[in-house]
Amino acid sequence: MSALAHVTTDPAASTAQGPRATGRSRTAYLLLLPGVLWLGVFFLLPLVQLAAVSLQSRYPGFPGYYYPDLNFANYAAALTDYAPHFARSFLYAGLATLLAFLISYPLAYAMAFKAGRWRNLMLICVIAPFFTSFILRTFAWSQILADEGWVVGVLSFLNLLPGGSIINTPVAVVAGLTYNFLPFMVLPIYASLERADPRVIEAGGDLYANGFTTFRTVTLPMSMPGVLAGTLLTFIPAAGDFVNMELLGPQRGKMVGNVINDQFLAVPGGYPVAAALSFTLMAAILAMVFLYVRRFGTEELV
Amino acid sequence: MAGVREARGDLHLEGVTKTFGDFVAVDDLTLHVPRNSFFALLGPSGCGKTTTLRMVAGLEQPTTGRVLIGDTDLTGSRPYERPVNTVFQSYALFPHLTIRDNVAFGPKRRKEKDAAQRAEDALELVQMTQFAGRKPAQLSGGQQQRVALARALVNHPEVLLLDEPLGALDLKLRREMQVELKRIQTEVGLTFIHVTHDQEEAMTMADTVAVMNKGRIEQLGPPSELYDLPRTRFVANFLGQANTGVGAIEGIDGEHLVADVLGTKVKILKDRSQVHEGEVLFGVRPEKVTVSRTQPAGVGNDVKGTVRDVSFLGVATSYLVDMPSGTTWSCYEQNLDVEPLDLRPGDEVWLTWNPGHAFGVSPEEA
Repeated sequence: MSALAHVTTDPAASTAQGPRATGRSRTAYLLLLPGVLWLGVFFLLPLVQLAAVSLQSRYPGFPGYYYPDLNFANYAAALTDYAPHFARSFLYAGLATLLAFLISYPLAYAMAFKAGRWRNLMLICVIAPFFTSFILRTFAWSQILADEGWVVGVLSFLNLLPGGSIINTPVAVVAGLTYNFLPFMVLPIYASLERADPRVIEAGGDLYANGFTTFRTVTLPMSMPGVLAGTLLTFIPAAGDFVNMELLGPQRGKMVGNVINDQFLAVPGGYPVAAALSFTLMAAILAMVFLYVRRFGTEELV
Repeated sequence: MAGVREARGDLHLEGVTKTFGDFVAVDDLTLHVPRNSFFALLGPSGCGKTTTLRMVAGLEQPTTGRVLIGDTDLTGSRPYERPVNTVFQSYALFPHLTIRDNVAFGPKRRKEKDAAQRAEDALELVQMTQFAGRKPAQLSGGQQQRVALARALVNHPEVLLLDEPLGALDLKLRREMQVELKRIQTEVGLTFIHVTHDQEEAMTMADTVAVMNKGRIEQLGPPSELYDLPRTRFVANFLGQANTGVGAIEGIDGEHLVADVLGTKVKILKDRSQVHEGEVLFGVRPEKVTVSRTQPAGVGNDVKGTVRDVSFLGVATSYLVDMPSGTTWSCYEQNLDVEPLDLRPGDEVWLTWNPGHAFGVSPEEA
């Protein structure tokens, strides 16, 4: 006992702890450095640049030239002139997210529990579209949904299509968004279902819950982290997307992504407004995600 | 939703067979478990004990045969229709619910009005009340095990199934839980069916043990009976240790059979041997063998051997003794003598035993 007491109160031992501890923390900071640098150069700097541009003013008489300023009018213009575009973006992205969820959940469920030896093939089918270009796939949809295509043909034949056209309508845009972001919904849901212990689902049945009740009270809540991740991964890029609207959507009634794209590339002197729109979009999405995660999030969001 | 079937009484399995493709997991099993008894299904992994349990729970359906509680035939009914609950090997607690909600899950599904109160009572029974607000991931294995038990017990099932519930716990905790489970079973008075591969666990807790092998029950009875008089070679070796040797039965000497086991004549009581002619597997338990330096006088069997190893265990000393036949026997002597034997490896010793303790089984593996 006395020997033990001697060891623990040995002054040499306690002083030896000091320098080693700081040495270890220095190594930790050193290891963090590449990540911090990467974030600084590729995330923080562009963000600061964008913020600066969003507050610039035009040189009167010199289109395309700006001077540094604190011109909040850019934000006022972004919000007043383009409010409908924001609304459309969130509406279409929200609809696409909902549709993607409704399609993805049964698919992910089948892959996780019912597919057996077909599971890997199904996974490949979900991922395979990534092997071709996003633009090309969206172009393919403009053919699928074209007025001469079989989809419109079948729907018209069944008298289910009063307008007689899908392409160049918001329906085509939502369909394109749903299709393009589907894998981002399927994969996280599949991952969370696949990780679930089948015994836990059996336990639901063992404790007097029938198939539907077990799904509602056990399986679905257990897959919520995947659902949450999937909806975020779908909604966020869909809200900022402009390609689907550009290739499949109508001429009028664009989304906010198209406005930003036009302001940057097509409108002379549109840079500050485009930057202000980008910033507003980012802030709005952040706020929505924050509220959403607060409402539906679990402690372990993986 | 469909209600839980009313069923009271003993559990009966009648000619139950379960096949998975070509593999026969459970082979024409007939079993009767009296109400309120603590019943253990003991066997090595893959012997069909968990499949049997899952068929009682309704998580698997038998290929042929019937499952009954009392007079109610439960064959084909869904798990949620059976008055049976399971404590899963991995506990299978709902990770998204608190401990309280985990335990209240069953009563809530059955629309019990006092679900919350019953959950509290069940948590008290397993001494987990102070953890009610936590999530399963915040508990240790032993605590999760208690919650899993409470979650099943709260429903007062007619039969409680325990699938290797102590398998994931360390030795000390396992011993504690063995006592605890036995206490709870006595307190609540339910039929417990405990599946385990740990023979010590089965023997300490159960009133009746069924030893399973390859989808069949090899022997069924109280632990002491199974240990004292195994009826098959598998049971003799699986339940505790046994010194065994194969020999031929040569004749009858009064109440005893005389067999020649690798050059040694041994006696087995007639009614303690499953075979009466031809080949026999003779066996005697290590603690029934006495070790001495000189040849003792008496009626018992005796053999001379050489000590190979001595392990002092405190309450007892365990010897490994090389026999002239080439096999090695294990002997277990309680340290009762004032002057210990003080044997060393290489010493010659006499091993004796009362023929009444020997048993004989068929040398064939079932």
